[in-house]
Parts: sequence; C-alpha cells; structure tokens
Amino acid sequence: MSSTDPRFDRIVDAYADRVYAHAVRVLGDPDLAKDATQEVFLRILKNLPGYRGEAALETWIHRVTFRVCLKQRKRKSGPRQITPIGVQEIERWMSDPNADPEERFIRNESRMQIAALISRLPPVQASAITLYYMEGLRYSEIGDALGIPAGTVATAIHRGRERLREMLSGEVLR
Amino acid sequence: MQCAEFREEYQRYLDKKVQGGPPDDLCVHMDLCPACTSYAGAMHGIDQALQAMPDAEIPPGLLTSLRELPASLRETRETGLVAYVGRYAALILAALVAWIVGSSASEEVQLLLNGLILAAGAFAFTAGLLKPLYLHQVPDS
Repeated sequence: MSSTDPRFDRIVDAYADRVYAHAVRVLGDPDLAKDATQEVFLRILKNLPGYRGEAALETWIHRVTFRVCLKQRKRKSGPRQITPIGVQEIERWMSDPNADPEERFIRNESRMQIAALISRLPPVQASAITLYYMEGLRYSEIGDALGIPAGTVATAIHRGRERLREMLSGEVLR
Repeated sequence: MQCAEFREEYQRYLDKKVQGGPPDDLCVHMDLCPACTSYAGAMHGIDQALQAMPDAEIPPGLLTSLRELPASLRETRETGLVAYVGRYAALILAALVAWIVGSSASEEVQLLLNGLILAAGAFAFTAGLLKPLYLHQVPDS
C-alpha cells in the first residue's frame, strides 16, 4: 500500500537496512532491533510533514534511531554471558589474510562476537562505533546525529575500542 | 614516550587509517615495550574486525511491514474514529430508551433518569471536545 507522503516510501527503501543495522549493533538483539526499526519509521512518518530539511535527512534518521535505541536499552534486561576470545587470537586471525577455510570461519566467528560485544558498550560508544565503521560517517556527522561535539565522538570511539579489547581479553566480563 | 601517551597516539593513528604502518615514534616505543606491542596488535585486530564487520541483514518481512506503516496508522485512526462514533451512538440510544421507559414511570424515577441522561450528555460533550486531540496521537509501539 502506498503512503500519503511519497517521501516515506523512498526513505524506507533507502534507510531501512541501515536503521536496522544501527539498531542491531547497539541493541545486540534482532527482535529488539526489529521493534526499534519500526518505532524509528513510525516517528519518521509522524514527523515527516514537519521536516523542513534543517538537518540532513541521514543525520535526522540516525538521531531518531539513536534515541529509540537509548529508550530500548533502558528496557533491556541484564547483560549476557560472553566468553573471552583472547587478544592474541584476534591478532593472529587478523594478521593472516590467506588463512584456510577453517581459519576464515573462526575469523568470521570473531567478527560476530565483536559485533555482539558492541551492544555491551555504553550507547554513545556503541552508536559512534557503528556509525563510524559501518556507515563510514565523519566525526562531525556522528556528532550531529548523537548530539555531541566531534571531539567527544573521537573519545567515544577510542574508549569503545579500548573496552572491546578489555572485554575480548576477559578483563571486563560481567 | 610513556605507555599512556603511546596508547592515545595509537588510537589516533588507527583513526587516520594511514597505510604503511605506524609512525616512527610509535615504532620506537613498541621496540622497547612488549606490553604496548601487544596492545597495538590487539587494537589493530579490533580495528580490522570492525572494518570488516558483516552487514546485519534486515529480517524478511520487516521492509514490507515498514512500507505498510502509513496504512496501519491510518487504520488505527479510523478504528479509533469508529469506536468514538459508536460510543456516541450507544449513549444516544441509552438516553432514548431511558426517556421512553421513564415517561411511564413515577415522578422520582423520571427525575433520576433525567439526571442520568444529563450526566451522560455532559460526559459525551466533554469527551467530544477532547477527542480530536486524542485522535492525532500516534501509537507508541
């Protein structure tokens, strides 16, 4: 069925996968991410008539996504158990691009585990890392989306990576 | 260079995505400090893993349900409108029945029923004034 505002369909086509990817990284749960994506687009649909383009559409959408994820994170239950992979193994997997299929499988597993760990970072760090690495946004763009200065974005990314390292090495396992 | 400074600088080096390895001052520190060498290896691995992170695939059906959001929102509003009109109709019908029944009853019963009809009317009027505001609310799902 078509919407009353033709822009909405175009926005869904262009941003649905990116909003879902952002949500799943920050929330770490596909079902929660699905709910969050629906809520994001409901908010977009509701506010689209009043959208005058003051902020870039992409920034606005990421901002809405971040806020919805923050809300979802507050509802979320306690942290899950995560087994440490080991920093040395991460180093080894990443240093050999010509690994055999089994090695590549393990490497892929490590990526999945890192993806899961992102959701255990504080929301600003999780979103900053997601937007930086997965969306390829600049610090200033991420800052606009999260409502923080660009310098704070850099700090959030640095602390996020640092915390990932600690979690992977088992230093911060709760 | 102290280890804390090295770690800060190494993070900045990762952000710049410079090809060809870390700058000389970082390499010098790594030659002298095994802990920071290990730190750099781990951070490099994490950076590489994040860059190669697989895209999260959107679940089947989500795109369709997002495209149908405007229609379901409209439907929610229309259902709300039908319920609203239905409640008014029920109130009017109840008032009519009460009036017909009351016309053949005693004076006290008539008075009581008239009071009830007036109260119901006042409630319906107030709800009617507030309803347009309520109907424009988007469900927070």
